[in-house]
Amino acid sequence: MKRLKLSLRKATPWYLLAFLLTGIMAWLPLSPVLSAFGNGWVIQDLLDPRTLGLLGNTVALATKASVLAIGLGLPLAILATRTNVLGHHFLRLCIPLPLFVPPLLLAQAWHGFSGADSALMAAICLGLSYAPLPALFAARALRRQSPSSHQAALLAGGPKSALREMVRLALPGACLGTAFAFLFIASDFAVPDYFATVGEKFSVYAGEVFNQFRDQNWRQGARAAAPLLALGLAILGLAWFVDCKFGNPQGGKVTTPQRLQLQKWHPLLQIIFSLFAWLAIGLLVLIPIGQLIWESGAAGPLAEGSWLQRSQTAFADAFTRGRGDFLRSLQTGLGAGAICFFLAPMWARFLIQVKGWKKAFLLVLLALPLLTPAMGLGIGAIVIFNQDWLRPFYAGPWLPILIFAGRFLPIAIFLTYERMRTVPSSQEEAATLAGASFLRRIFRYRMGGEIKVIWLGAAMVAVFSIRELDLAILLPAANASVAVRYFNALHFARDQFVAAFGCLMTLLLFLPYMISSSFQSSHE
Amino acid sequence: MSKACIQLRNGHKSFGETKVLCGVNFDLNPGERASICGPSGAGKSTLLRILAGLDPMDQGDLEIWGKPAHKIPPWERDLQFVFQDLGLWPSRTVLQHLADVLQNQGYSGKESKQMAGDSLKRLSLFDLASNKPHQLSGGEARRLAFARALIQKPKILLLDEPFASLDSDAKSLSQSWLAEILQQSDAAVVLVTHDETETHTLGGKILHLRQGVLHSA
Repeated sequence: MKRLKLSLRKATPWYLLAFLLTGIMAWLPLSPVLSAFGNGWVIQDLLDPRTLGLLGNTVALATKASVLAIGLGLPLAILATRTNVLGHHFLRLCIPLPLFVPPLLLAQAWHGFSGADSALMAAICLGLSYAPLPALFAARALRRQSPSSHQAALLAGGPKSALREMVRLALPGACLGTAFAFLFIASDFAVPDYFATVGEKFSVYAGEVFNQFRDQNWRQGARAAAPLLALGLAILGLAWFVDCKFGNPQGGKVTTPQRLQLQKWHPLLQIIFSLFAWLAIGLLVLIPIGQLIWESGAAGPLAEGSWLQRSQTAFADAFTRGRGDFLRSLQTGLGAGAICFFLAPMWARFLIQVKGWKKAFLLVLLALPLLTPAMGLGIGAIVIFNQDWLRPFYAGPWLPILIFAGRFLPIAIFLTYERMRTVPSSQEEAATLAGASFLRRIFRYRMGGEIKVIWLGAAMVAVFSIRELDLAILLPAANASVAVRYFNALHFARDQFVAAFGCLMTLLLFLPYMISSSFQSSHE
Repeated sequence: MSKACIQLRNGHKSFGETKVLCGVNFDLNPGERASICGPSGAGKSTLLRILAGLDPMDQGDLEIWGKPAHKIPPWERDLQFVFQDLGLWPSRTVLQHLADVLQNQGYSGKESKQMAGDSLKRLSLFDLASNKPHQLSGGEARRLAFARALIQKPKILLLDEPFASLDSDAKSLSQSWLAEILQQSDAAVVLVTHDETETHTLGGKILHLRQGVLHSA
């Protein structure tokens, strides 16, 4: 008994450390944005006709993009996860890819491919960029359908009935994914700005926040981000309600049923659905990446040599000129990932421990850095850390690492928490009784069999940190990064260098995922 | 003479190196009742899944209603399956479980709801009509799974360990409830179980599956 008490006591310093680090990385930079809620500024701003107009534009754009995201994402998830469409393994592998590259890169590719440059095109690009979110949430629900539930539907009404049951099962998750997509789209500044620069002018609310940053009105900028956060909280609250009310707690064995054999239903269906799925993946990944590769050797007015020679030169140039940026981005990403690798399991463990309203409050508090527009968080970081006595820290490499880790920590926490919940607590309790230390209990005994999910969370934080543009533009110490280099180069000139640089950035972001996925496939 | 519903000859099935079924022969005539008993891992569920068309056989001839089984997809075999873990649909209410399958059979939405409601009343499940599966007790969920299978008026009913994981009171209640319901049905029924006492629920023939082969009791 004495041993047990000692072990429990050992947990407290680690939780305190997690609180302290998260406070510095995430909540402190958020405080200027949150203060707008405390003194009623959000209400005042929301009642302002100009703010309302801009928010209206933003909501309209985000709604169009979100409809496209779920319209593509949900059927794609069903087809790639649960049917035998041709190349389903590859399709499944490709679904998350658009999330790993900055939406601006996809916007550039689509602009080059289609020549379209309207607000509608911005909505289409953002919809394609974030379609993986509803798809991934839906796929997760579909993978967890009990085989017998699927087979019962199959016996009750054939494949049509089985597909209907899949849609019902996946819809609440897809809605939650769409809500997240809506939030990210509504707070995206770079894509609408790009299309408004190259084509007809239009404004969204995120531009308002950026303008305050450009004019160095830091406090005003943080305040301006608050209505977007309020909108985000409202949308997410609604989606959470839908998920709780209509979500599907699964009974039975949680293993994926066999894929639906479409040709048994109708010989042509497999071909038709395969064409749709490949078209969707083409829109999400293959066309934009293909366009970038093609642009890397495209002929300009003064071009010399073959496409291959021009492309080789552009890639060599991009690699030489961008090497420093690549290394710094990699350093920031790996640093943020490492911090989250350490913090996420502790938070997950703490979340399991707390109950009721405290848990709900903590979940919202932890999700806040991700729900806040990146620019709001960036301006908040400037307000808090741009102090004379903090100059070396503010200008050094640690600030971006910490702020990026703070922004994306919720992803790692929620991934780990969800998996940790499924591990029997007795595994850890046995380790506690055996006198294992707190860290060993979590990392070795509780999550020992599921350590992959902690690595996955950390890898996602690293990838999202490397791809993050809005925050990197704002923080001076993060300016020397691939995302900002790409942003500046694209606005300066659209040439082979930009395309080759975009391709290299894509490769850097895709590579960890592709390697880990191929390892997983070989184990399956 | 009417055709046999199921005729299996020399059925073989292996999982990797493990042979589960080694030359199984099995016949079932319309309206007939059969209980198959065997220890866990003997291949009872595998046999049922093969009969339903949910899993393929490695070798052997299976005829359903006199036709080669590989030519009839599972949903056209006129059979229903009550799964060991029930396979209820988590997003649907009790009423919707029954209404959905009736709609699949071509009834209108209104008709199917009416018929589903009537059926629930007969089965004493009407009070739970708006509940979802996770809000049901083990016994109630089991009754819903039986009701979903029976409302489709199948000609063959396959029951995979229908009383597993019930305590003794709930088990005896469910057994008598099922026996009563099945008396009103003319479906041929196959029940598999590891518990020999459960085989008496159905009456009819009792078989033992041992070392991959079916033996008469």
